[in-house]
Amino acid sequence: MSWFPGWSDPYYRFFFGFVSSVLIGVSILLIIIKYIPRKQEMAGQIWKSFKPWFIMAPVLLLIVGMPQKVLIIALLFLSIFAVKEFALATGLYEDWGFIAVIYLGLGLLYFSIWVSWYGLFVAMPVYIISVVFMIPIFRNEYKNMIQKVALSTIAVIYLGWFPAHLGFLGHHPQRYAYLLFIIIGTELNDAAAYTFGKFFGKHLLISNISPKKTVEGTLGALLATSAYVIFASRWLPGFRLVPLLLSIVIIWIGGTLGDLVISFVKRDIGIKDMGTLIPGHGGLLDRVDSLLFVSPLYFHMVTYYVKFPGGLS
Amino acid sequence: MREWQYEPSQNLSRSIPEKLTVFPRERDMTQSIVRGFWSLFLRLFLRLYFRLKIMGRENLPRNKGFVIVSNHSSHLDALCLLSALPLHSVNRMFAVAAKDYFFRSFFKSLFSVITVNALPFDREKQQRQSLELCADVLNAAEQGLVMFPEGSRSLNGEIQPFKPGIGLLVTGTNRLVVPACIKGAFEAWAKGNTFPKPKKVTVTIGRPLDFCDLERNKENYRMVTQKVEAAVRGLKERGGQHG
Repeated sequence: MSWFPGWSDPYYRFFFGFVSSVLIGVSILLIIIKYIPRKQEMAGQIWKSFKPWFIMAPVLLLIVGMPQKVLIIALLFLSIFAVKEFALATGLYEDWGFIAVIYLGLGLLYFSIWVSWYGLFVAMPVYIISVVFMIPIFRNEYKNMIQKVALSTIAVIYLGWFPAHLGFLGHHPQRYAYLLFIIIGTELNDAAAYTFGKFFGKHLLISNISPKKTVEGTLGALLATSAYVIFASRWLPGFRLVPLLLSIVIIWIGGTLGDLVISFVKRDIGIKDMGTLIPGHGGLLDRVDSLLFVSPLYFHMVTYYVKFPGGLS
Repeated sequence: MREWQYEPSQNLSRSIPEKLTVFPRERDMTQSIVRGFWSLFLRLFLRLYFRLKIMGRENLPRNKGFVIVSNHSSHLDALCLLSALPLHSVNRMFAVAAKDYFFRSFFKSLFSVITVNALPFDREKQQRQSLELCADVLNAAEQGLVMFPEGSRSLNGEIQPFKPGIGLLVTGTNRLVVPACIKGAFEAWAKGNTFPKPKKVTVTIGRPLDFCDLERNKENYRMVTQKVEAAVRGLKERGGQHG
């Protein structure tokens, strides 16, 4: 199928099967837990946050399985929506000048991915932020400008450039394996931390920033992530022991940190969620927070151990 | 170091349907851009399909908010009136739309908000609160309303008596009322017809009316409503004489 090249790739089919099995398996497990006395409420809460995956997982599999340009466009929209949520939360959205520059900059950033120009991709944040710095000068305005420039810089780098690394990874011939592995792994790590925390959580990990993240949940996530990486290791072309170990570290620590980054942003602003887009999860940023942090770390690890054909230029 | 001040948007905690229904709506860049492109397309379409003609554009107040009112016999009316206004004002003009009809479902709400920047007017239970919303819109600089004081579409194309809301809204205030008359919209797309016919539509815009010197009382509200209605009828009878 030319419109859906992913299906002809065995790695894609493996991860497709894996995701389907997890969805079915967890559903059955939750139904069983529902019948355990005193666990019904907990099962109900987990089910509430698990349910949206029946939409999110097929959307993810569809986007990754389609031609690579679709992935680039999807990531561009993800960045734009993430920036919008962040800007709405901080109040930056009131200033359309900054927002327009960020959006246009993101468009150019993803254009550099579209044309596979790695040099431009790496340099692009510098140019976008330079333009952001020029806004106060052209407006002849200084009030609150440090704050606006700083928030815009965070938006460009953290919400635009970080996830864009996944788009560039899409140029790799084995993109299905690498992309699905990291996206699924990061989300599993998140889900495991939440579930283990719900069942066994007693000690808060970073009490001031996240009142829900527990030491037990985080250790459970390490367990689940390790099991996942070992299970998927046969389906990761070019991954030997060191990249596999690094994958565990990146997914586990990177994922946890990504979650905590958005948590401290929310606490500082004084809001609970970054939006209402995904029922049971909050906003888009609440869902992709871990992936933002993981993306560049993983990209550089992959490109170090598994060379890009023709190199990156 | 002093703390930074954040101002989280109210929209963060609202669901998408809620964001559409709630008023006043927060400014949304995506919506404004889409509405801008839609307005361009709409102007082109109305001109080609209905041979839309606009007369008396010079009567529109500049750099000032106003209420544009006209007869109402078709869904085309709001679209035609908005197309008669300058393109840069499309995001500042709000069409007063019946909440029970235009905000009945998610897609209807989305369409109404994007295409005519609809203000949900509760004509059943909260008329006064809805009028207050209208007043708030007019209090902001250079914002305006598109209003049909008849309340609903005419079934025979004839102008129905105006409801007193318009009088209540503008009497004793510096809010200007611009009377307009739409001809041909009923023949093109009357209530109950599924598809619009390619009939000629003409919008005539009259001179703005000012009622700032009047005292705010029931009698004056009625009198102002009658004057506005007479102005619209006058435009219809004069058939394009908008001076």
